[in-house]
Amino acid sequence: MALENYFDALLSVVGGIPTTMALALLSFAIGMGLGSILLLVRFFLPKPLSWFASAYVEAFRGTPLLVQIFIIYFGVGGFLKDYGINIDPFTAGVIALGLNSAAYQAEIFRSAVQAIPVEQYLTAEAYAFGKTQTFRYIILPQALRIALPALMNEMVLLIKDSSLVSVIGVTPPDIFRRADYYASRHFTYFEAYLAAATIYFIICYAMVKISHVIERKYAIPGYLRRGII
Amino acid sequence: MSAVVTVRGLNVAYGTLEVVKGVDLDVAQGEKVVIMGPSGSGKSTFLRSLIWLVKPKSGKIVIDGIEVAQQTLMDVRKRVGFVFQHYNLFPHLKVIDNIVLPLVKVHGLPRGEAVQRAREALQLVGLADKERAYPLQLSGGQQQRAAIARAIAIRPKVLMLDEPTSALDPELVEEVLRVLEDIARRGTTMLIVTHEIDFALDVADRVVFFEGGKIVEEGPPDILYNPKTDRFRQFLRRLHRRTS
Ligand SMILES: Nc1ncnc2c1ncn2[C@@H]1O[C@H](COP(=O)(O)OP(=O)(O)O)[C@@H](O)[C@H]1O
Ligand SMILES: [Mg+2]
Repeated sequence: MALENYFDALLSVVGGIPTTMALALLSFAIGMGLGSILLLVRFFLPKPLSWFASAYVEAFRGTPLLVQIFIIYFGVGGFLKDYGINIDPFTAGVIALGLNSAAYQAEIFRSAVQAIPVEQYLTAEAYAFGKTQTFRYIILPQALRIALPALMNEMVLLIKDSSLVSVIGVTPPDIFRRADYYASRHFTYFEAYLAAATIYFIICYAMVKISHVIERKYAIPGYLRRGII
Repeated sequence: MSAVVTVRGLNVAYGTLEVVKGVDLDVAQGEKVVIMGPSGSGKSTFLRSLIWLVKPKSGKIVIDGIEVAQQTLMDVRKRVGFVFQHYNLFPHLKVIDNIVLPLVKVHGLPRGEAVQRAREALQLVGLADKERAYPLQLSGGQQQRAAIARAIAIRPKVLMLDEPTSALDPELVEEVLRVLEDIARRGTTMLIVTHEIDFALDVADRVVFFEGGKIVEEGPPDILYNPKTDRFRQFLRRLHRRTS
């Protein structure tokens, strides 16, 4: 392996950061919007409707993301093409990642809500809070704090999973697709993919560090945590 | 004297497990009623069922002249201050906001007025200097006093307390009892589950002994010296052995 090839590959691959981050951030936002709706459905609506929300979650958790990307891009995209609507790979990628993330974020929210002691609900009831007020002022603020680490983790997963979207030829190319180009142009596979891995690692590691700062900032004061390194 | 709480033929069950079996009780305006009884006898369930935190199977409950029913439930709950064994403060809110939140969101007070009232309540429980602390930064005794402040700030027609000192370390019990004695002296109607004999002797107008979901004996605090039933006598003897 040639060190200069590795650095050369790094310089080329870095150009994929904006696309990768755009894929991850947009799909995270979609996931959060739809994930919150799924949570509200499960919290407020009667059983049959909340069952639909659960079915959605299980469908997306139980199938590979790559298959979902293909279904959205080639399946749904191909179907819409017949009606003159074109979906480019980037849009299809964001939609697929977003729908997938919604399922995971809905689960994150659900387990956060379930982690809140039943006594908190009881107290809210005793003090005559309505169901919406209880959710808004007592459950949600606590649940978001509980969910924060898992949400940040989901963001990191999305950054890494966004590399799957490169297989449908996302443009402008993301980190992985740029590495792919570089590798096949220079026949330096090891250097190129190692460069991609390096960039993903740096971004994800930075995200983890940032998330620790955010978690600490929003931690409930006085809540003792075990120091696990 | 008019009754603030009237309970007739109350039955409460968890599924098939009957826990409260035909209880009748009246609490008069300003009266302090202490409920005692062995663990598992249904004291918490009874207290909770009065405001339908556990929905009764049958019976009639009237609080401050309102019969508890689905349509009146919120109205009734607004008139009751409830204190739990484990304080149950909202951990994400500062002490003062724990008190202000129900005043503003449930009782519709303007924020300024709510803050004023919250400060008065904190003063009363000796926590004026802790209004900006978060619950989990406080000792158990302080948390329970904050919870008591939250309850009295709504100016309840009746204050219900479920073993307010039994989760506390022994050295913290006294500070909470002193606050409760203060509140009792101000004429608040109180319904308290507690095993603090001295507190009952000082404060209670009436002591109720609960066992197996029924009121087995009730009377003036004197019955603590001279119980009529064997079961209450045994209970008190066991209690005495534990605390001395
Ligand atoms: N949420 C619940 N579900 C089922 N059983 C319960 C529940 N809460 C209490 N019980 C049962 O009801 C009985 C009375 O409990 P409780 O009212 O807590 O008694 P006490 O407060 O006098 O100790 C006990 O047998 C207890 O196990
Ligand atoms: Mg109890």
